[in-house]
Amino acid sequence: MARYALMTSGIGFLILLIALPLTAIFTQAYQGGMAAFWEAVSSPEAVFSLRYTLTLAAATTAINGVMGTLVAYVLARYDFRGKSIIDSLVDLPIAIPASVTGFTLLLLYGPVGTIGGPLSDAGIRIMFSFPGILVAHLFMTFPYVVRAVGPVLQDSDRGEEEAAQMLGASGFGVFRHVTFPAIQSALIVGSIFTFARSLGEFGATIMVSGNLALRTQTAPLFIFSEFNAGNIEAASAMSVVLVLISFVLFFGLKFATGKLTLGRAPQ
Amino acid sequence: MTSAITLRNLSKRFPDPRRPDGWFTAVENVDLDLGPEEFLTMVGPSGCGKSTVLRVISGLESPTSGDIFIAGERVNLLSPKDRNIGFMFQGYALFKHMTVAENIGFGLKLRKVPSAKRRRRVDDLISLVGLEGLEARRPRQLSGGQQQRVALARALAPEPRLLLLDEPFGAVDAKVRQKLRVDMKKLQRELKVPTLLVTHDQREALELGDRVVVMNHGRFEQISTPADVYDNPQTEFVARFIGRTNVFQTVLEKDHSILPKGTRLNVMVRPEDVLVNALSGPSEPQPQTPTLVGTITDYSFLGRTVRLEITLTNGTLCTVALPKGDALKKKLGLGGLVTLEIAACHAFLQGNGANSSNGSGNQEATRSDVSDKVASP
Repeated sequence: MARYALMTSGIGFLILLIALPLTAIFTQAYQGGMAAFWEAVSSPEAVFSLRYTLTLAAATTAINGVMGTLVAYVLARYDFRGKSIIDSLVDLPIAIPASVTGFTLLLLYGPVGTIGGPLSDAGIRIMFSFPGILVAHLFMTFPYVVRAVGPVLQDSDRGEEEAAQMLGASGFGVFRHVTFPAIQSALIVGSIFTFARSLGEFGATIMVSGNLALRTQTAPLFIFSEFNAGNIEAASAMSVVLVLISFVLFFGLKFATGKLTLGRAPQ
Repeated sequence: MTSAITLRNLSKRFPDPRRPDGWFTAVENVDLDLGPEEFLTMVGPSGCGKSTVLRVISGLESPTSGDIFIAGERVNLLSPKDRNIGFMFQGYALFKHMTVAENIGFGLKLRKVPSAKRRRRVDDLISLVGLEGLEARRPRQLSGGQQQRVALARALAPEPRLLLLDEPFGAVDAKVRQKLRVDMKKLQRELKVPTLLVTHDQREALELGDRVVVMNHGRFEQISTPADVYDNPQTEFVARFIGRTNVFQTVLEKDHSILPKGTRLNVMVRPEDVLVNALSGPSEPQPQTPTLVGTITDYSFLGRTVRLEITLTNGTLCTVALPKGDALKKKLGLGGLVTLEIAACHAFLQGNGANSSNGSGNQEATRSDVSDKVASP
C-alpha cells in the first residue's frame, strides 16, 4: 500500500511538474492547426531569432569547448599558487544570478563602461550586438566543459601520455593520440550542456542584447516579447521548436553518456 | 665497444618543502656502464630512487647534474621522443582506446612506417610474445600477463637501442610471473637488446640480471654479478637486503690484522652457512673450536630444504637452512639440542656511516672479510 502511495506521489509529481506544462505548450501551439503553427515560426522575426540563437549557441560551444578543455588541462596537470582560487572561480557563473551577470557585463563593456567607453569612442560596439551577447553566453556556460573534462583528465593515466612520448610522439601527437581520445566523450557531454544552456539563456541575454527584433533578439527573448505583445500563438510555436531541439540534445546526451560508460573500462 | 648506457656522476633532486634544505635527493652521484647486450637489473627498497634512474635515462625527468650517454652519445638535452628507448611502464600504461595491434604498431605509425610493413612487424611481434588471436582485443579485455606482453611488444616494435623495464612483473600474479620472467630472459638473449630492469624483488633481480645493481637511498651500493652480490656483499645493506641473513652483534676478542680488539661488528651469516649437528649426549667431548650450542625452537618444512630457528644458550636466535635429507639423517627435530658451526660470514663495522666513531679508513675496514676471527655471538 505504502509502495503505491510512494509511486503515485513520485510519478504524479513528475507528470504535474514536467509533462503537463510541455503538453500545454504543444496543445497551445497546435490550436490553430499546422498552417498557423508554420506561419508563426516562419515569420522573419521568428526565423531570425532562431538562427541567431543557434549561431550563438554554436559559437559559444566552440569557444568554450576549446577554452574549457584548456582550463581543465591546466587545472588538472599543473600546480601553481592560487590554483584552488582559480578552480572555484570556474563554478562562479552557476552561482551568480544571470541578470546580475548581464548587468556586470553592461557596466564593464557598455557605452559608458570602463572598457566599453574607450572602445565605443573608437567606434567598436560590444554591448547590444553579437559579441556582447556571445561574451554573456561564454560567461554563463563556462563551467560545463571544464567540469565535464576535468575529472577525466585528473583520473587519466599520465603513464599513457609518457608511453606515447617514449614511442616518439611530439607534444601535439600525445594530445591527439592519447589525451583527446580519453576526454572525447566527456567533451561531447560538456559541449551538449553548453549548447543547451546557451540555447535557453535569458536573464543575462536580455540585459546585454537590448532585445532588438531582427537585430539582437534570441529565441527565448522572442518568446518573451511575443507573449508580452499578446501573440500567444507565436510564443508557443517558438517554445515548441526550442523544446524539440532540447529533445534532440537530450537524446544526444543520453547517447554520449552511454558511450562514456561503455568507453571507460571498470578498473 | 661503447656502452649502451653510461651514467657519470648522475644526480636528481626534487623540491620538497617538508625537508629543511627544501630538496629531496632521489639519486646521488651514480655511475653506471651497461654493456651492449647486457641485461642489468636494479634492485632496492621502494623509494630508493631506482625508478628515477630509469626516468632520467628515458628523458622523462632531466638530471640535476651529471651526464647520460646512450651508445656514446650525450643525450642530456635530447627529448624523450628522440632517444629511441623502449620503455615498459609499471602498470604497463597501454593505450586503453586502442587494440592490441594498434598499441604495438603505435611507435611504427609515428615513424611513418608504411602500413604493409607495419602490419608485418606487428604480426612478428605478436607471435614473438605469443599473443596470436588477440590482435583486435582492447587492453581491458586482457589478463595481466597478456597486458604485460603487449607492453613489451609495443616497447620493442620500433627496434629501440635500449630497453628500460620498470617493475615489469608487478601487476601479474605470482604463478604467471615466474613464466614471464623466463620468457623475458630468453627474449632478451635472443634480441640482444641492452636492458635495464628495475625491481624491488631481489629474487627477480638475481634471476634475470647478468649483473645486479643494489641501490639504497639514491646510491649504488654494489654493482656485480648475482653470485658475487649474494656471496660477497660489499656493504651491510647489501648483505641484509639480498637473501636471508642472520645478524649478530659482536665484539672482536682478539686483535685482527686490520682491526683492534674490542671493535664492535655486525656479523652476517647466511642460514645455509651454519652447520648444525645434533648434540648426542652431555658427555660428548667438544674440544678446541668454540662451538655454539642451542635448542631447535621452530622447524619449518620448505620442500627441498628445512628451516630451523635455533635459540642459542645466551638467548640469541639463529636461522639455519639445510637440505631436507640432512635434517633427517642428523635426526634434527623440534626441541632437540644442537651444536652450530659457522662456515662463512661477513662482518661490518657497527654504526658504519654517519654515526661511526672510527677514524678515516673505516670504509675499507668494513669491507674486509673477517670470517675467520669472529668472537662468538
